[in-house]
Amino acid sequence: MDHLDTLENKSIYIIREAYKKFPNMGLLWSIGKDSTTLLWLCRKAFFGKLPFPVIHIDTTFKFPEMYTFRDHYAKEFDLNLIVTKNQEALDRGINYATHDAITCCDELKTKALKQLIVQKKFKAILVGIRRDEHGIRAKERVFSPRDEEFTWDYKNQPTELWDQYKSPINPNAHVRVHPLLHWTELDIWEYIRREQIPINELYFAKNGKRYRSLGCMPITKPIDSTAADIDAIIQELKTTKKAERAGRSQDKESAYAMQKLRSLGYM
Amino acid sequence: MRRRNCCINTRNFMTRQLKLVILALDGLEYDYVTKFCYKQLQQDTFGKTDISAFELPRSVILWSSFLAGKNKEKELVATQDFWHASLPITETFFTAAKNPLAIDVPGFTYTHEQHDRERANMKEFFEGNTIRIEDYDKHVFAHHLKVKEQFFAALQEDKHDVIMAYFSVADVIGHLSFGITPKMRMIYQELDDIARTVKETYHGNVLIISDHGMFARGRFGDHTPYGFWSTNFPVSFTTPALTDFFKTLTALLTQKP
Amino acid sequence: MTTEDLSFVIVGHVDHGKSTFIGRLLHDTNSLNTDRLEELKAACFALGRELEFSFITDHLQEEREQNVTIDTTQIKFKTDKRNYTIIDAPGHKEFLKNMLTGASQAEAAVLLVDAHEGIQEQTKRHATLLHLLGVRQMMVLLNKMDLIEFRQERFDQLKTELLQFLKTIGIMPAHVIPLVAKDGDNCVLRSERMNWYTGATFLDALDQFTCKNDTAHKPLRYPIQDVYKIADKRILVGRVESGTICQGQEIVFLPSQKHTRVASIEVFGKTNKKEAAPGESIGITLADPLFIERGEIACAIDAPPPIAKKIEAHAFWFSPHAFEKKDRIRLKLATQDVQCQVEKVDRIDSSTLNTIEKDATLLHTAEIGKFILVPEKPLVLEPFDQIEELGRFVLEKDGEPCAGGIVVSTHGTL
Repeated sequence: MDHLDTLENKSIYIIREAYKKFPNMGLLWSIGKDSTTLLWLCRKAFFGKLPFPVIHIDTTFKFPEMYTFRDHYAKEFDLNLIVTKNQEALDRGINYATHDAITCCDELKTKALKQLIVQKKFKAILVGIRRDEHGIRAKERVFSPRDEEFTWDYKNQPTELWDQYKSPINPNAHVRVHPLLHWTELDIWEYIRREQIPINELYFAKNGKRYRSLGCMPITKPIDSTAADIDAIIQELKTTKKAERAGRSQDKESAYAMQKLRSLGYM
Repeated sequence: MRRRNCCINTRNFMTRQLKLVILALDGLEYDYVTKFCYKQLQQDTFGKTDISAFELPRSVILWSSFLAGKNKEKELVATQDFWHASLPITETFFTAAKNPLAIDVPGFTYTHEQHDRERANMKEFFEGNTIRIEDYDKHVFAHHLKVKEQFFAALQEDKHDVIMAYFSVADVIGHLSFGITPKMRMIYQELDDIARTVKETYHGNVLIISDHGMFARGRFGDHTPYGFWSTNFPVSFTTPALTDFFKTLTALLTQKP
Repeated sequence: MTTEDLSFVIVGHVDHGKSTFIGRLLHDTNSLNTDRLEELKAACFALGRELEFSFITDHLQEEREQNVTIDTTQIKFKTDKRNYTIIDAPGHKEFLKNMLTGASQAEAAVLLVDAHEGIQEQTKRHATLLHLLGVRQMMVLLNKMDLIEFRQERFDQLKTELLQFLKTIGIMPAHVIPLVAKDGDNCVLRSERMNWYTGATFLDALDQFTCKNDTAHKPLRYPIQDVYKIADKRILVGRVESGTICQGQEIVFLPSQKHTRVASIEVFGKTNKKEAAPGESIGITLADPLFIERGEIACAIDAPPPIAKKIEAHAFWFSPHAFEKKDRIRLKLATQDVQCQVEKVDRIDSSTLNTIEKDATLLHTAEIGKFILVPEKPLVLEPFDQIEELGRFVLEKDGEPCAGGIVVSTHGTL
């Protein structure tokens, strides 16, 4: 088994454990590369057809290419797709032009999901987050409980031992399951390449720009890039990480040091 | 603990004339001394110095003020070239001594050629990018070994009643490498070993003092707003101002042996 | 190109040269950042002092990239044969907790002893630590041989003493090696100052340890996770924990004792899969229409595991609530989940490793319990040093995980 096989097998194990514990489960699909990879892994885990629904929280501000992609694959993979939105908030006029990103996210995404979980009585939600995405993610667990208020008490986390995952006892709580926690961004792309997982064209460079992640259109900015296919993206990822590590932080510190030494009269 | 390059014969004998030894260790950081437990540097009592009366923790200004027993910042800054300023002996506590020796002391007997060159190298490192760390370090270490030799030789002789030796290695190296802990630990160990040699060959009063400390920012070092002090004789203070030592040292020097 | 991975722990008092040893190891296998190393060597030379390897080890984090996926301190180095990971064991308590709960998994251990100091209470405590963890692959390093003038008689004396003591706690080291970490003798390169020693160098000995990967040669253990009905097939899904499973293989399900053959190996997207190795999450179909549920384990028919009525185990109690002997606890091992009673528990202090109380009625947070457990239903398991995937468990009380542990031995098997 190589590195990707190891990651794949572990994720499948986690997905199957989750389904055994929480048959009333849903997969949160953001149409992005991580959740699509998660979807792919679920298909493998369940031999083709997912025995639970796939949820898309539609903020109505997504790129049109994403909606096309979603509908096409929902059909091809025979998904039980639930598209939900916080209509009430949209009617109230919540949108990116008049409100800040955090409010939009909270109202249009988080609240919509909350409502759906309560309505459908989901006990667990599969989410495609990875530890290397963000500092705070480093403390996440594979099975992460959320109470009724959706709050995550990161200090009081259940210890995850020997691949044994915890079940919540509180009937109103639900669990977030993170089968991709151990994957890095590079792992995801290399797996996408190996499996030829369908990926939204927005990720590939057009006119010198491409999207590294796909959020809502008004707040997602593309990066400069000429990577027009997966191999190029992987190459770009490898070199950026190196450059970032070596160059950027050192430059900042160097500038600081110079300034301080000047103020102390050394230079 | 084995001493590596002990090139001088440190015989154990009572120095009659010598009343006081001052190890001036530029940039020595209190938190470092405690974290890595440098017992010889800690001596019998140790603590932080208060340099809040100074606007900026600049070495030459701090040392001059230590020597003079008063805040010389305003006066020295006004000279436009405080690096090369030099106090007359009558303004320092050395005036209370019969035959003082001050090795490379900033604001007094500072070795300008060496330290001017250090600053030029530092500038080249940052701005011109033409100097390697290894060369910058080498220049500093060579001078350090010379000062050490001179100091140990003076300890052997029975000529002086007070010896103040200035070691700038922790500060000068630290500015470019404080974040490289293996290197700094080696330097602090070196200074701790020097303190040990003093303890083993001289049984009188020893003051170890720094002008300010250091903290790391990436691999580089910046000054902390407090210094370090330690003594092997009883004192009444805990966090003295750098200018307070003048009185204590003058008293020690005027003491009958 | 797959290289093997092996993680091991170095146990020993910090004054006995552990830091220096790790630094030397990294240096001699060219695993240190060369630029940084050159800079340090130049500084040492210019100041006229020796390079202290322990300083380098102590501050590796400064140069290493922030790896956010790892909770424990791990130091990595490579050789031609393998990628090695040294699991740091700074304090006993944290270390034991990590090891007994799977947060770190060492496949081998190195016990570092100061030859000059000889065998002390410290050494015995460290060896006990390893015994508690069920780490069976180990070697002993007698460091600082220069301080005893490289004398063979002294080495032999210490070796005999050590082997005798280790035998009493059931540990047999594969090698006992004389070395000088500071100068590198017998670490990576053979020492020229101890020609009487003809055994392996540390690195040679390390290369001889077997990896986890070798579970492929152990008997088959395939715990059933769930059963899916896909089209008209009943697929038993799970993960191969040890051994290999092949199409046509004769297997026995335990504890139910039902026999059958593997009709097919099911993996989505692969039509002709004939076998699966440890770590693979797969599905199987059976030749006979048996009713099999989660909790059953498919095993090699010629080498079945014990089915225990009583278990001797060591566990780290991390729950903030103390354990009372009369408490009802659940034991979760592989996919089995049963209620257990505690027949006996000895309390061990996880810092000092001393037995606090034998046959106790309470076990407190951060203590180690030496348990005799009686499961309500017979359990399929293995001693941890045989097949660790079936030898490690979690104890739960009221739905909350409370302890992680390993199986030492089984009693009263069916």
